[in-house]
Amino acid sequence: MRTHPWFVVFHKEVRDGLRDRRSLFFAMMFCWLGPLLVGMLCRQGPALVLLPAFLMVTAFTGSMNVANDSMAGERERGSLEPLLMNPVSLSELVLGKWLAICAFSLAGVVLTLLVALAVLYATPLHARMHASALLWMLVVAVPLVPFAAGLDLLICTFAQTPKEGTSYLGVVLLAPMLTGMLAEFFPVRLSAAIAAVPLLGQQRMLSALTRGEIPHIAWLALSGACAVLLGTAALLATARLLRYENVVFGR
Amino acid sequence: MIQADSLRKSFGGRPAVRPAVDGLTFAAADGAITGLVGPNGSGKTTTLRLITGLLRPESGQVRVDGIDPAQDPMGARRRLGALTDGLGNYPRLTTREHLRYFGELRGMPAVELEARTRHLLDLFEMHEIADRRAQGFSQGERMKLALARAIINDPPNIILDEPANGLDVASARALRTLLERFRDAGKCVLLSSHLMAEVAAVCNTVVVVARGKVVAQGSPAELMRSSNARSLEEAFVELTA
Repeated sequence: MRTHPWFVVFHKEVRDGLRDRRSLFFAMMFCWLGPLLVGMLCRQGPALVLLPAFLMVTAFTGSMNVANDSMAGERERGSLEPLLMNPVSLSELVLGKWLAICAFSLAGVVLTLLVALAVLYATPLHARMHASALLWMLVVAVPLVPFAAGLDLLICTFAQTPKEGTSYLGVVLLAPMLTGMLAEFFPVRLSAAIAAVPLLGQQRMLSALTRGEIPHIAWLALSGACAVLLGTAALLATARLLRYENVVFGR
Repeated sequence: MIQADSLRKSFGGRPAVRPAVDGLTFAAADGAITGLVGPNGSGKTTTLRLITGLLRPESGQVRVDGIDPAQDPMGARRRLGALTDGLGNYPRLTTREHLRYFGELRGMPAVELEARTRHLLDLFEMHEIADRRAQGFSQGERMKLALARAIINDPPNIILDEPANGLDVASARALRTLLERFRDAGKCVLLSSHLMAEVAAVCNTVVVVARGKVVAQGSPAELMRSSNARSLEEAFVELTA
């Protein structure tokens, strides 16, 4: 029986990503540094407001190395051309890569929440936020995974080398960072329009969770659907871009 | 069999740009090794990319066993194995994992893939590096891996872009033996090279390209005769001047 090409690519990318120990260690650092900082500031009033920003950032940092290697890395080592010469559709190739990037991004989000759980129990913070809020945070943050993976993959399609990809992704990383911080300083009320904006909608709901407020299911569904849709759109755009000679050969 | 008919391709989009390939016509027959030779920038790699369907010609047509890669890229790629100039191995995958990855992408059933992998490890004498990661491979080992990967599904047409680049004497001889085996098995082998000694030793037919055009084609002996040269290298210099 023939294995689906998207699964073949997914399996290879996950294996390759797990073997890239240095990048993996670097990505994991973000996962425990954020919640640890929250724990260190536990006696300060606004310590918990940092958690949403860190959680959103890890959705991106978890996926960026794999995205960079699976697109800009392919181009730099000359493996993109032989890969595209296989009788496999571009959408299946890109789907496999996207799913692998999603897996690493999801692992980053889950790890951050597990460290946050440990920090919550080890510090007085558990008096201010119930552990079940972390489960809700997972529900809110999971749709950011396909969004971050799609955006990272799309951006890396334009990079000729991983070094160039890292520069681009550094700029992309500003999006969750700035959204996380600015939305705390200039809080906007959650509405349908706000919930539909990826990152901003999630930030508002995550922030509400740190105050013990459970987000309304309609906002949750709307923000999740918009993030997943945009992530899928980025995936389709990447597959389409690879049809252009100047993108494949970087002319 | 690979046929190129009046192929034309330019980059940059402006009419003033000289085409990389300009009306190229040639045929690479089954059971023969055809050499595409020419100076740097003469359009060899562009021609090979047009054959694989990664580039689309502005005009003209390619046929791989009768299939036009511009119309049916999947069909053409199923009948093609290609070794690219950059080799393109994955440093964190082992030789066996490379072969499995490309075999699965080419839709090979597991049992057939296993047998083919064993055969290729024997053929390329790669048992020692079968379970080693490609990082740190010598140039010869990298080339053997890339070539084995390209022919994992035993395609009837094999394209090789500068396969002898950077190879030591032993590896170059092993490559020559392999190419002869492919030819004897009835495959169509098309290789681009600028190493005339290599081309003279293995190719049945040589297509000389310069500035994107075919300037001569024939057997090495015919090319030497037509240009009154004592070696293929001399004939090449004469024809591409």
